Amino acid sequence: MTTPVFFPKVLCRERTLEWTLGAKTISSGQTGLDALPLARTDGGGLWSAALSSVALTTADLVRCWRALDMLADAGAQPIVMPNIDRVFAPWPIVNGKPLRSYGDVHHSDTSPFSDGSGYYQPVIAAKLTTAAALRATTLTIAISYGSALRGGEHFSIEGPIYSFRMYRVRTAVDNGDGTATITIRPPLREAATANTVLDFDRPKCVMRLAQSDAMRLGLELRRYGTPNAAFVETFDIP
Amino acid sequence: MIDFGAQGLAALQADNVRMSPMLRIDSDPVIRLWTGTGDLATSADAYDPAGATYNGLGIIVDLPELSQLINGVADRATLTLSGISEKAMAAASANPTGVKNKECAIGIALFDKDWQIIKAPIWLFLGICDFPSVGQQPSDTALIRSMSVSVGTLFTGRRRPLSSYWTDADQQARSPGDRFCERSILLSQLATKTWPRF
Repeated sequence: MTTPVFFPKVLCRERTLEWTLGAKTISSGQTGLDALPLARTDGGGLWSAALSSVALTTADLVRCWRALDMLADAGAQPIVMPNIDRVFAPWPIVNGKPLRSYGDVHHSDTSPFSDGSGYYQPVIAAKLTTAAALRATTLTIAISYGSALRGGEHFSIEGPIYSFRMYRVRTAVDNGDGTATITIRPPLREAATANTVLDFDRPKCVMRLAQSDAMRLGLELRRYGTPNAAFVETFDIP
Repeated sequence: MIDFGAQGLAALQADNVRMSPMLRIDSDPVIRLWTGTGDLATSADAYDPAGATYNGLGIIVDLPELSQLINGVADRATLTLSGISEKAMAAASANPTGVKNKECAIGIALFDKDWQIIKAPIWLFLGICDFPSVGQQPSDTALIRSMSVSVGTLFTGRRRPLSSYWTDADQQARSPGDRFCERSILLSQLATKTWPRF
């Protein structure tokens, strides 16, 4: 297994971001009984992500975008896409404000790594309390640090086969005993054991370029660019 | 007779049906595919007594129309998968005998409102695979590789002529000397029978 390619956080500067769960339906049109019968055949849907007008304002950002385009290999190489929900994730409320990050965590003697960076520590602590089967859509979870779920949040689970897979919360019911029962879409991509960690901080999904030229970059004045990109979920293992 | 079960029938009667076509080719290893995304575990059925896992094809795959046996004309269906990798194509070209004469079943899986499969897959069509063929076609942006396998019904045979009409010629072929269909020509379309005869 090679090291997966991660979409870098510095390029998460798009004007609009669209995460859609694609579906395929067959409709027979309107019938005499006033109904529009519909059959859905995709078994739960496939994620697609569209980033539009990513502001590449510096030379480093342009180089980073170009390098990533080459790493994506016209769609042949899966990329781990983050979906950072800065506003909508169930952040814990500390002193009346959502706590979104601990910042860089340094070593115990307060020294950082040689390049000045520290450790990353997720803020929201959530896990499955019971095991979930493949294609489960109802999960029992416990959030030990974070706010209550309301529906509409994203999280991801890193599975043993398909790596990072993202899910969206549909409904959430607090069970009153520190756990919550949630329903999700799409159905679980692989079975998960109890105590599996749910990543609400930086949900990720393994994706690839939607088309071979989906990261095309046109430079304005040979300096700046506002390219678009489109990705779809892939089941290739990164 | 296909047994959908009470829950399956209720799911089919609803205005909004959640279902996915399934494909199973009895090659070695067995090919199990469904038109959804990701893996799908099924419970025991006639093919897999212990249940099995079907691999998702993605949401853009179409299966051909299937028809029942009418007038003894055996139907052939061609299953095509486009957008395959170069590796898969090379494997299909190198080992075309892998699926020949293997049983191919096409069916559907029904799901409840929580996308949980109802019962085991329901098999609707049973055929025998022929040679696979591969092809590639350039489009505006990319080269699209595809792989097809032709599947005939159990009644498909190339050497035998059709003998399924109730005509004297067919009847003589089936049972020489039998006169049962001798006068069926008189009952054909456009033949006028005078009645009543005064």
